[in-house]
Amino acid sequence: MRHKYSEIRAAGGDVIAIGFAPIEMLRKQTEELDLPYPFLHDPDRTAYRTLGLGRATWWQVYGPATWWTYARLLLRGHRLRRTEVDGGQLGGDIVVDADGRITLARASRTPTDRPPVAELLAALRGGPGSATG
Amino acid sequence: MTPPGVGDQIPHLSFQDLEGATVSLDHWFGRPLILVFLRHPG
Repeated sequence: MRHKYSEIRAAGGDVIAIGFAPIEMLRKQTEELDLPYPFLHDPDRTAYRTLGLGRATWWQVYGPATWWTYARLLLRGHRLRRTEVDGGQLGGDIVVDADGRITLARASRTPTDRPPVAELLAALRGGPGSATG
Repeated sequence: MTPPGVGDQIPHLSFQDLEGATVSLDHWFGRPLILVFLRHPG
């Protein structure tokens, strides 16, 4: 997302990242990643529930698809760390227009399920969105 | 409760910023937004 941020801004949009982990962890992550966009905290996951962001199964969290994803990240030089937060909570991506109307809603179905940034940009620009549960 | 979908108005949502202050998502309206809900900082 960060590498496409200038394109998102050029399209007149912005990005907001939202996390539920302890705020100290989010602060550290923001500093380490030098994120150019706001990072907000939803400690009790009210927004996650309201927007229908669900939970992964044990197999989805610890199964081969996740290990494969982490192996590829390690090969690319990413650093992984242990986490003590709820690993079952799934994320998602929501795009809204300037008035707050949803133009794309994608609740992750697995821990690694995220839409391509190009799809988010298309929704941001007013293109066709998609709603999946 | 069915979550909102494409074409729906996003519900009023409040968050905390990283200083702990409460902020409303409405604050950022006026431009299209990509809201990225993360899993965990792993």
